[in-house]
Amino acid sequence: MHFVMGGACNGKAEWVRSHFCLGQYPHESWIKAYECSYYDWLSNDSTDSLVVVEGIEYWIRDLSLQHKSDKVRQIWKETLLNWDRWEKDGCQRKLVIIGSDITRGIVPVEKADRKWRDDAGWTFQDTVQLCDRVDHIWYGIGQRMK
Amino acid sequence: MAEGGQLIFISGGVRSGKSSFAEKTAMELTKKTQGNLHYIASGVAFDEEMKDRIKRHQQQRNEGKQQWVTWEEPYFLHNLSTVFQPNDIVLFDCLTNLLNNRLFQTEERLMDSSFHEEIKKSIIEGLLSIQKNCHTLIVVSNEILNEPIHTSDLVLVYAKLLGRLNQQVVARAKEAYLVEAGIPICMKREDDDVAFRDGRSM
Repeated sequence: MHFVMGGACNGKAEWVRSHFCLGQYPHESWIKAYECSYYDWLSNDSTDSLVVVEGIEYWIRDLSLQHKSDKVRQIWKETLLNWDRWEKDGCQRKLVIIGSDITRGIVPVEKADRKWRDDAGWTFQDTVQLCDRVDHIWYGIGQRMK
Repeated sequence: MAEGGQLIFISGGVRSGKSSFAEKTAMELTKKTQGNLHYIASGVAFDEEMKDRIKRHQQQRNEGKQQWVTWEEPYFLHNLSTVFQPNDIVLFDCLTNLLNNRLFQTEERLMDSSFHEEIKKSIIEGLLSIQKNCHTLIVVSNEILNEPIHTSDLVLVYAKLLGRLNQQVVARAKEAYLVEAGIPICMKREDDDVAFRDGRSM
């Protein structure tokens, strides 16, 4: 699994498009977190070989609103392990995870937003742990972190 | 004779030291090119406090040996495209201010996407028109995209515009720096010149 992170509107998706020369994999799909649920795409039993999931901070927000932080991390780790299994199960499968960093602004006024921010920070750390490769994107410039 | 038209992008958080680094860079480059040192301020002085701040900044800049020529241009950088010489170094501080000024100039078209496109195009063209006519244009911006941006439609519009502008400037820049707590991290460095590179103490 390949994690691509960085600030919002920093050109992460464009970077992924050019890095993976999109159009070269036999079956590609691009999943936007704000359009479906985090476990949906796996249950499609897809024949995809390249899957990009964009905006994981929104799935983390959903989890954050429903569960305590420990539980959020546990669910997220299980999700990642499922994704990892999916990637390793098939031949030439690749999963790319895109996440926007939301952890550096002013402390949010709303408690739920503060919790979301904490949960995002932790789950991003967990994501980095479980991915083979991590790149940080800054206005289109990629820096490999792992 | 130095070739004209180079771009340096410098960004950082609030009080990260990005402006000082930008000023220092501009002064060093000017020594090399032996041109004049220019400062384009985009802040609008709405009140006395802002006027004082601007005045204080101007005085501080001119405390050193090198003298700055200050230009105030809160809206249209094109207005300044003909005032510089091929050896001049121009520091523009900052892109976020200019975007604010342009976006909130008229309230009627605030959420009109064709207006956003117009602003984006006009800002980039304004920057290029200056870059073309000086030795190096240094553009300062801000790191404000590391928090949730879906809090309101306006924040989203602003974030997208600034992100796009920053990306376009970085793509055209010969050097790009992220300043963290006073330390400039070089994110991009291409080709030669930007005042002959060797011996530039960065």
